[in-house]
Amino acid sequence: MTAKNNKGYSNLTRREFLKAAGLAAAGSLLSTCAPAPTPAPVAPTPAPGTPVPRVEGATPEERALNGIKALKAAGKIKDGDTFVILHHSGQRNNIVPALEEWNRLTGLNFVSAEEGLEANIYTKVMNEAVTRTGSYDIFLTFVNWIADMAEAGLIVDQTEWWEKYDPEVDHGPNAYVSPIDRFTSLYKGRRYAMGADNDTFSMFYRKDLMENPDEQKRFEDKFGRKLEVPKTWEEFDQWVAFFDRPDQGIRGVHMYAERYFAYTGWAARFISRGGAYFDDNMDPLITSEEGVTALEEMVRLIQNHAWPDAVTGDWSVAYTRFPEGSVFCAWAWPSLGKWAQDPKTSKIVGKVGAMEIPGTMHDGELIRAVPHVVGWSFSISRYSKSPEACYCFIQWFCGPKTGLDAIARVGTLDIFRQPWFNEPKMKEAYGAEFLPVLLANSKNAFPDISLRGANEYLDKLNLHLQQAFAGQKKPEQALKDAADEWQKITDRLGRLSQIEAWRQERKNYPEPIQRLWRKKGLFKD
Amino acid sequence: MHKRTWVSGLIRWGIVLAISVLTLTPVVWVLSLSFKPPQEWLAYPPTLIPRQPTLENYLVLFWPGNPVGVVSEMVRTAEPVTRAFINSLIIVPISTALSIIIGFLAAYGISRFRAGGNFLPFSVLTTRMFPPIAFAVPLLVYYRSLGLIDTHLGLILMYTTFTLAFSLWMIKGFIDSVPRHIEEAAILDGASRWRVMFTITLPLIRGGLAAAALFVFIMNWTEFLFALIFTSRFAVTLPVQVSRYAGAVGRYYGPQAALGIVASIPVLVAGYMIQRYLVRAFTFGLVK
Amino acid sequence: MHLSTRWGRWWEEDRWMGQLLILPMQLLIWFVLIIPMLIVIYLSLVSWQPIMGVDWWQAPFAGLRNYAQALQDQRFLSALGRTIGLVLAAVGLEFLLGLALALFFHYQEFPAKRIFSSIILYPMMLPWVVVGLCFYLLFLDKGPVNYVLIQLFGPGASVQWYQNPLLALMTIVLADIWQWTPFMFLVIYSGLGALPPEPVEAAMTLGASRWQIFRHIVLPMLKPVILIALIIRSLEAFKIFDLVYIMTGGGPGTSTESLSLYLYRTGFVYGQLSYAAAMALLVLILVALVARLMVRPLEMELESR
Repeated sequence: MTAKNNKGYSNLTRREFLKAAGLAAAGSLLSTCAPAPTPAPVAPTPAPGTPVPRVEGATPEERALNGIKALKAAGKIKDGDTFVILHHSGQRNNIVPALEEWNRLTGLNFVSAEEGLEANIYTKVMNEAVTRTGSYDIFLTFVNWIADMAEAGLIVDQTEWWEKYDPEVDHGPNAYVSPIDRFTSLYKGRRYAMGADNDTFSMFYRKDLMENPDEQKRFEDKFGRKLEVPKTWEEFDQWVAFFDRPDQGIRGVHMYAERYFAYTGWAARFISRGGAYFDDNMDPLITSEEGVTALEEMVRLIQNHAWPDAVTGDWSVAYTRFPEGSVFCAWAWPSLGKWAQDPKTSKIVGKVGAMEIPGTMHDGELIRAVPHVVGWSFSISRYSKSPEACYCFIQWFCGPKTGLDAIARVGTLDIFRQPWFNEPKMKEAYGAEFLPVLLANSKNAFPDISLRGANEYLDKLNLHLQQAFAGQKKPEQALKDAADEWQKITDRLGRLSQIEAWRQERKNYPEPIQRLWRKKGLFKD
Repeated sequence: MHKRTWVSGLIRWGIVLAISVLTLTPVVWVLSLSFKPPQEWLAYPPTLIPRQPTLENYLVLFWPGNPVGVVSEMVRTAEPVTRAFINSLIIVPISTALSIIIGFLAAYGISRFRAGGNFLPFSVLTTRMFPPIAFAVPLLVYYRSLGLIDTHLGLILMYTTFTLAFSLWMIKGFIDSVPRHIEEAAILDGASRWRVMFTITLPLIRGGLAAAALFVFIMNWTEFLFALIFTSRFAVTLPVQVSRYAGAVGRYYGPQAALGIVASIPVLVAGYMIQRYLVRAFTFGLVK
Repeated sequence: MHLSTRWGRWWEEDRWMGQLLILPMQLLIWFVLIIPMLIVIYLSLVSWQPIMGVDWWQAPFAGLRNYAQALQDQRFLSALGRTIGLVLAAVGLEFLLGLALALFFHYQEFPAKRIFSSIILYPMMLPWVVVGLCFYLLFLDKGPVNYVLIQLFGPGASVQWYQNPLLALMTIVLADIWQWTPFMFLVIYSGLGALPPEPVEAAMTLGASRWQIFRHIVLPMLKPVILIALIIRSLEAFKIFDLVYIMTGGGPGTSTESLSLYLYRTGFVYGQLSYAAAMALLVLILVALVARLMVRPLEMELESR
């Protein structure tokens, strides 16, 4: 490109020179972009044969604090060292007061860095995996991002520290509710995270309508059985239809059918029928008869007995519709119970009942499958200045006593240790009636897809499910399209690795469901 | 004659008012939201005037610990927005000024000297054609190696560079519409080219410069994506801070609306001040 | 040329002065943008995701596979078409409205012009997060817009704006028009203000009508300014992301997904940075070609002066 300027001189030489200089500079700058090569990525290491010496201390919190003392004595950390925790704004109130106390006890400087949108946390976490700035030490993220973070080489394997410090997660009188302890911490059989939350879906309904004698009589006349909380999905559908009264401004149900959580209603039915996401070759099983029937039922339910914003609204619709009294029954995270009982936000205070999620009968045995949706857990950055100090913090924070205080404060983190279900503080926060129901539901909780690429698997599934709910596609076609997309994802990420991860993941499901699978011949172990 | 002007005056006013109302309705909605307590954020039927107006949404922005009421309960442990405000007030004016200055120089060079060849303006424009999202991670890697992540300098450099295409094209348009013979005349009278550029051309395009400056300022002030990705604790700007008003159950619409209003005030002030450059003052005669 | 000697005022020589003037811009662009651009091109030619567990410079080579995949990707192509439609609708309306407003403000006399034009400019000044939230809330099923419709036309008038893709797109276009018409107004208004008054005065003394003056004198002189405003606004509108993200999230399904939103999902939710890079480069090429066509009349206009 030789443009001649006004005087007819060619600008070529100057531009050529500039370009060459620029490229040279660019080249040298480019080479600085590639940091030193990192060690090989995650491969599950076999458990070591030699036992790790246990740290002194009567409670997990005490052991954590002793750990900090030991690290300071060994010179690995010192007073005033700053550690950054990345978390969601919703946990601000759970975490920040705890940080102040921790800093007082240890002399360290743990600070909070928050994000308002969950998706932004994932973005920051993945960016950190690429750039390795070390600007975050601890991550509080969705439970099913652990696989991505581990495979990207971002977080450290905590298994040995669990043995050394004993957080009393899966054993002892203070243990977490099982199986939540498993799927909030394990990936490929190793502990990559520590759970700090319980997001088992909970279902609430209008107790006042249920206790109304006229309603009871009408129901009995219609169905020939007493009006009570349904146990199977079939009974549930009838129950909802009965209370669906559009002319009175109240619809039967609100269950998510929108862009991010449409899978929850379908998965609860699918899994309780004995379905599973994948078989042991990572081929999707969602197109089976259980899957198609489950989706057809859900689509019918939403199209006939719910407001349209179940499909178009976002997740907070449940938190407005149910407390204002425009739906008879709704399900969401445990916090919905709190919201519905708070006079500041709810018009139906005192009229709220909580129920166990229905299930499916299998030869006289009722199998319930309750989705545990998102949920938060702590993981530690490989590039932190002292991963072990970070581990001490999270063990301390999730401890039986500190954790109780933290969860009792208003925030997105919910109750996860078994003894807490009897604590007066918790009964006050959640409502004494609700706690046993939550406990029962938690014992039947199953995780979101937690493999590597989880976001992609779930997003593509939801995409097609939402189209089925919106009437743009038939249920069978929606599931088939989702399954095709899933195969592509699995192939791209590496089928063998995914197979291994899935084999471990399905072992985190509740025992009754695993037994059902064995009975149906889906999996041998 | 009087009747006609009376009627046309009325029509004129009617149009002006109608335009204002249409423009302001969503703004009024945001304003009203900013004075509403949480139970009214999504209430139905929606009301323009809050039933229980409160100043809390504004208070919690600067004094989150204040013990008044429901909203402060929700955001009790948040940090005040002053830091984000200061960051924005540092980063945005500086990068805007740099962008306009560099843009003006380059626009003059291209317009009057065809500097850089025929394709230079277009190639600069291509910097705006690339979806910024795909650019974010590579830029992040580069910034990492330069140590510019989460720094004011890093954002300033980025904002200046990304808005150069605007500055260049908008200012060039205005320079192009200034006839050359005016400058030629001054040169023949003995003025140096630099002097001509600054004392003759620059004042003539004051309006264009002001418009470009305002636009670039607004683009920088409201930029979200890169601010989000490139800052974490130290260089957080206002738009990112707005997104942090979320909590246990969804977003806190009240404080977000309040912060939106507060954040728009500096821009409003800037916009008002440049108005005088937009309306052409014919006092500067063209030298014949 | 005339007064400069060999050693003095060398910086005023056309060649030197021009180069000096564009030097800061060149330096800045090269320093900040070139390296990341090279990385983007590199990424598009390999197959890489952070969760693969390898560093990006060790990723396996993939050639043009990402590009081929993009060109067959239904979701990409629909997003592309949809975004083009959005741009045409939004920018077209913004231009007409902005032009009308600018003419009105320029030619009509009324007091407090500064205040009213500040009012008109205000929508541009709100952070986009707030604009998106505002319009999202306005069009909720139980939001103010439906409330007004019900008051005016009865209970059946409530519309589910977000369930129907076409209506949802309309609300997005409306939000965009509300936010960016001020830009058109700003540019055209300042363009009108910068026009030399002589031609207009001359034509008026010759007895030309207002319409003739507008059509044959003002409009041609405004052409560069208008074209620039259109080009700039179109480029920005093409990248529309924030409004779609907040108002519909691309739903239902992907029926309102804009190009940038799909790129965001691909890059930041699915983590497929390589694929996103390839798609972005395809977009760049496409937009550059179209923009070249739009810019040509501008250049010819300048040549003729």
